Amino acid sequence: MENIERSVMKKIESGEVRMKSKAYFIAGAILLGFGIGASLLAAAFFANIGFFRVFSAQRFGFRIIVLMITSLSAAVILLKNYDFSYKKDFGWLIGLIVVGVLLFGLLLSRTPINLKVKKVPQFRSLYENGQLPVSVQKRLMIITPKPALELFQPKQQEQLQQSEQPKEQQKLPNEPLEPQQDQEPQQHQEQEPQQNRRMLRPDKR
Amino acid sequence: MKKYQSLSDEKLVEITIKSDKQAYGELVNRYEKKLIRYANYLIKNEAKAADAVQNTFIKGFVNLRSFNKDFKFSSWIYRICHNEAINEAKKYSKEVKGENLIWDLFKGKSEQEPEKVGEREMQAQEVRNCIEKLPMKYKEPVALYYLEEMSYKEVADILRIPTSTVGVRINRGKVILKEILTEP
Repeated sequence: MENIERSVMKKIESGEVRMKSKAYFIAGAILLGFGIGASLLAAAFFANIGFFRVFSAQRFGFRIIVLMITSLSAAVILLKNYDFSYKKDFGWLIGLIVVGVLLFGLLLSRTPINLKVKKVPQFRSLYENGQLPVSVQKRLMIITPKPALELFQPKQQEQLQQSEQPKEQQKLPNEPLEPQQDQEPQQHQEQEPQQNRRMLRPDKR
Repeated sequence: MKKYQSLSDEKLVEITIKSDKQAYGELVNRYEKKLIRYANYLIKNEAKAADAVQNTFIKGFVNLRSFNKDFKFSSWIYRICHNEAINEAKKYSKEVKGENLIWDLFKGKSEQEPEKVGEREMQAQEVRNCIEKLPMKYKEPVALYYLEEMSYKEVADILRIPTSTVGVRINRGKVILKEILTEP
């Protein structure tokens, strides 16, 4: 067995092994904090969408729950890098975080922020059917293992079938935030030509 | 190197970072045998344990600026060694029986310091004979506490588990050891 001290010191002296700078660790700590913050915010955002859907007489959404749990898990994994994760009772901390995220999500869902976010094309599918935007889905298809994808496939097929149905049937019930009054004249405009056609048919015959 | 012998580990870390890299050699010298002994416990292969310890010291040097002064250097370096040894053990999971450096090292230590042979040493002797049969979950804290003579807090810092859990696992490990000892 080679003398460990000698071989280690040889590598250090030759410059083969170098100490990482302090800036590297500071940047790491900042990124870690940012990652935790972003994961928690994402979890709260998904909870907010779930509650918003519930208030709009829809279901919370299985995918929303999955996304929320994924974000929370990411936050917990990152939090485990801190020393307090094993010094304090981590179970309680996780419980507090989950409750905090749900409460924050609930509060967010009662603010008008969703009216603005819902208009952003990337987020529309999340509000309407609890689904990630198509571009994100495509990326996930590459990295997600096949068994996990199969869980989502039956619902995707259902949605495809739904999309083939007429637009009027696709509209979800009780969407209170859509200005219905504005839509009415458009519907009349669309219906009028059809009525005219029907009326014209007997004459043609 | 003699000028560094009287200094504490933490002071040596400070000197290594600020001025003299040679101070790290003293730290390597202090922990080399202890870490090989501990790594050999987990890997059960002397050569692989030595590789793991060498990697430990290299990683320790590379990340020396991340060392938190609130901790003991021993806990920090043991933690790195623990991770390295676990990774190495996963890679080479084959168990080498009969070849066991730990007992030889421990035997040598006991002979050199006969005044320390006491109750704790007797406990350690008993533990040594049966510790290999313990599940990994209990083996780690029991080995660190009895054979490396560390405190609960140090064991907690190395294994990154609460101090209370360390106590529970050591006690549970002792119960299993007793069961093993009383087996016909």
